[in-house]
Amino acid sequence: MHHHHRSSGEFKRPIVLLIGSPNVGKSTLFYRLTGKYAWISNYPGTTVDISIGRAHLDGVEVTLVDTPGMGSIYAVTEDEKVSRKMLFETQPDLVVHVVDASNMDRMLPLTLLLIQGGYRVVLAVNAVDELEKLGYRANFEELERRLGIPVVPTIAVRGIGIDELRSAMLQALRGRPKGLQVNLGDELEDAIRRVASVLTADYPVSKRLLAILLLLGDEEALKMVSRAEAEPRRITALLEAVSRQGVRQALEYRLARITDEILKHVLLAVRPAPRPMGRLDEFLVNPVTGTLVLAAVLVALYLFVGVVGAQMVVDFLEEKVFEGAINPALNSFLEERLPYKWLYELVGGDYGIVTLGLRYAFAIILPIVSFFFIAFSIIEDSGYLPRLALLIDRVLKKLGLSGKAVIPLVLGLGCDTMATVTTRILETRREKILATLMLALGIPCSAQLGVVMAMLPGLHALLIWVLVVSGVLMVVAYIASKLVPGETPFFIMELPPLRIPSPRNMAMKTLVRLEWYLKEVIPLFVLASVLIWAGRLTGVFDMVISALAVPVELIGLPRESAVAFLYGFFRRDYGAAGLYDLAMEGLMSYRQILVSVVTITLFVPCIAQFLVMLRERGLKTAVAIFILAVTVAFAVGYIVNQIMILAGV
Amino acid sequence: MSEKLENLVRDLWIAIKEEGREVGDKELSPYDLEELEKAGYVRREGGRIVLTNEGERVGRKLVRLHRLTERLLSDVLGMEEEVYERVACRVEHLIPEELEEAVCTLLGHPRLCPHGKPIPPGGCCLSGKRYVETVVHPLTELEEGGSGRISYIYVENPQVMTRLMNLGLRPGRRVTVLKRFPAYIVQVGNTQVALDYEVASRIYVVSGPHH
Ligand SMILES: Nc1nc2c(ncn2[C@@H]2O[C@H](COP(=O)(O)OP(=O)(O)OP(=O)(O)O)[C@@H](O)[C@H]2O)c(=O)[nH]1
Ligand SMILES: [Mg+2]
Ligand SMILES: [Zn+2]
Ligand SMILES: [Zn+2]
Repeated sequence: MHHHHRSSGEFKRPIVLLIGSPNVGKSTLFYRLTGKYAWISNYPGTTVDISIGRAHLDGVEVTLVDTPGMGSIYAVTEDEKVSRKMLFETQPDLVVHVVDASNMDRMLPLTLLLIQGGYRVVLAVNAVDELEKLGYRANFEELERRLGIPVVPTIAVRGIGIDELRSAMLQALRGRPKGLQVNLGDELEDAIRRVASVLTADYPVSKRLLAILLLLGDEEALKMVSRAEAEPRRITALLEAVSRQGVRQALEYRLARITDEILKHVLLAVRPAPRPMGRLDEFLVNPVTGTLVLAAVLVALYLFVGVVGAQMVVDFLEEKVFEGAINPALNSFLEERLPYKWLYELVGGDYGIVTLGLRYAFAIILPIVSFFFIAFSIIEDSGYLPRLALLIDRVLKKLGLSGKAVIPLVLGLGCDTMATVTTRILETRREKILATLMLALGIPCSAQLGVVMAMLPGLHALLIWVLVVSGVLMVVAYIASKLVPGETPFFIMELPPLRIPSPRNMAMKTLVRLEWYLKEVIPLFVLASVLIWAGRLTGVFDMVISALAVPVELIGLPRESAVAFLYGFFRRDYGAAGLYDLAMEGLMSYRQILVSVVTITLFVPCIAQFLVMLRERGLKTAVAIFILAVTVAFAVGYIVNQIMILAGV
Repeated sequence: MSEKLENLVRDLWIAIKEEGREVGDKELSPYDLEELEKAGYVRREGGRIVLTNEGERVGRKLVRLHRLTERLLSDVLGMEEEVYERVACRVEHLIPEELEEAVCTLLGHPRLCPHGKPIPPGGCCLSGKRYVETVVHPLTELEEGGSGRISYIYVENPQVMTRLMNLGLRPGRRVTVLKRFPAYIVQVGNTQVALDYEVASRIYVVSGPHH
């Protein structure tokens, strides 16, 4: 390896990569090693981008990088490509390969390949608790001896083995790259030697690994070589000359054989294995009971977030704390002390930063999202999502998506912005576009969902809302799936073991989410208040409102609700909160509440989500989705209004 | 037995048993005839060549193998007629006896070769189903709880292949079907994987008892 390119201060600290298959516990280890929170959940594809932290190894500080899961060197999805890029382009000083103790048979081939790549490698065998539950004992000294690299068993969730991992990392960093040099068979070895011998430039990966990649027909590797070599033609000519047929099979086969041979001496079955599927698991994946469970989960979510959070807690904060105490006190204080009306209007009054912005943020939305995030972390950490994916794969296929899309779609109920990033885990461009569209159009985020639950008058209205929104979502997705070209998706998903959520992770995840919420939301709330205040001063506000009032009145809503839709451009939940205000003041009828809530749910994605759409999907798609959302929202609002009038509601 | 000898026995069987022709001892070279006699496949009866019991058994078997091979090459491997005719004559000699029934069952016990000539039935054809268990078929045909060894995976999309490989679904590995509906759940090693029907039907396994 060549490290002489590095000079800037940023990179002086040694760089250590955490690499490994999805859901093996990389982020849990990252958190234990750095103390910096990383998203941890029990489904493959939690981490979709790198996160960087600092770890102390007995006084030596290193830069630790957590990466998205990567099952092999053949990257399929964008999140995997991120990890591959880190591995092949950053010249890490050390790679910690994290594997699942129960699945070493399919993960050690990558360890072997990493060693061939000339990296310093430390193997962290995580979740040994689960290996023991399966009835095995493992001899890790033997594994270490055979692989020729440090091997550390860990139980990351309980912090076991972390100190040992630290010292192994430090020792490896101080030494030279080492480890088992495998023989990949005469034919393949010969081809590798020949290709490696004509590579003359400096590369961030070893020539042996690069040669293997070239023989595998890897396009990135070919690009790298074409850029670096003075005479790239020599390489391409040689590659054409050597037989590349069956290289992949030969490589996989040899690595698997070597792994099996090693594991024969490492793993010992001490007890008969338990049944492959527990009762609960059977229950979750059975179409009948599974659907019942899904219904129960939704009802529980409604009771917890919609009733306890959104109604009881919000009522208290809204009526007793803000409306009852803070707002009147503040307003009368401001009226007495503030000589300037404009300043009064900025802070207090009807639309002020405190009386409106902070009230929405703290009294209405914060309690709702807190409750939601707690419930959500149970869903994420238990391993329920992959089961749900399997359960509704057939339904989603009709909409051009695979079961895997459940993950971003359900995450959207937490935050549509983050969920839009998570569409990276989907295999095809078509699926990514369709999922992004669904998220932007009709998946309400936690805050909006909570407000909607709180303001809809009764369970029947909630049901109508659910039916209309999901119906529209399905119809639009169905039509879109016919219009967006691309192949039918396939569904292949690992089902991780069901796990009991750790209270520590739940608490931390909820707190991190709340912190993120406040950081993103408060400035936006304030910004919205300031903009509206400025707009009112200059008269722009009235112009925008009169423009928005046209479609709003067309769908039978009071003119005042145009303000709520204006808020909707900033964040989905502001819009809902604006409607909530109107409903609480008794300014809307049952019909108007329902129509407005349906419309605001389908209305535009918020600013942050729009920016992410722009980044992930490009300008054309993002703008198209935006326009589609506004059109569909008002069209559906109009239809629902007409139907209800006809029905005499 | 040499390839040449095998082909002779086969042709004799077709002529005598199938077409009901009489074959005179002048139709073969004296050297070949002697070899065949020495091996105990034919004897001479008044200027005619007659197959012994052993000759009849072997000839029938070779014809069966030849025509099954033709079917295999044309149906499964999609070879053109002039290609498979040439290849069949060589491949049939390479198929070990144990695999003959597997090939036949794989092909669904065909009655005719691609030229329309009858394929002499084997034990597997008569007992039908009993042997289906031991040959290659898609994972989707396993019952819940059934298991098999992956023989090959037939997918065009390299992404699907990579996904399966990463999860340990590769040739040589044992898989068990845990659930078939609403999606397939299979166990390979200590990993459980959910698959849709499309993907599951592309994974071919050899089922049957453990060894
Ligand atoms: N039983 C057990 N569970 C663990 C252990 N380490 C992590 N987990 C659980 O495994 C799941 C996945 O952990 P993560 O740290 O998110 O895994 P990851 O490798 O970062 O996953 P991706 O980001 O999806 O690639 C979580 O539910 C963890 O609580 C362990 O040592 N034992
Ligand atoms: Mg992670
Ligand atoms: Zn024929
Ligand atoms: Zn048969």
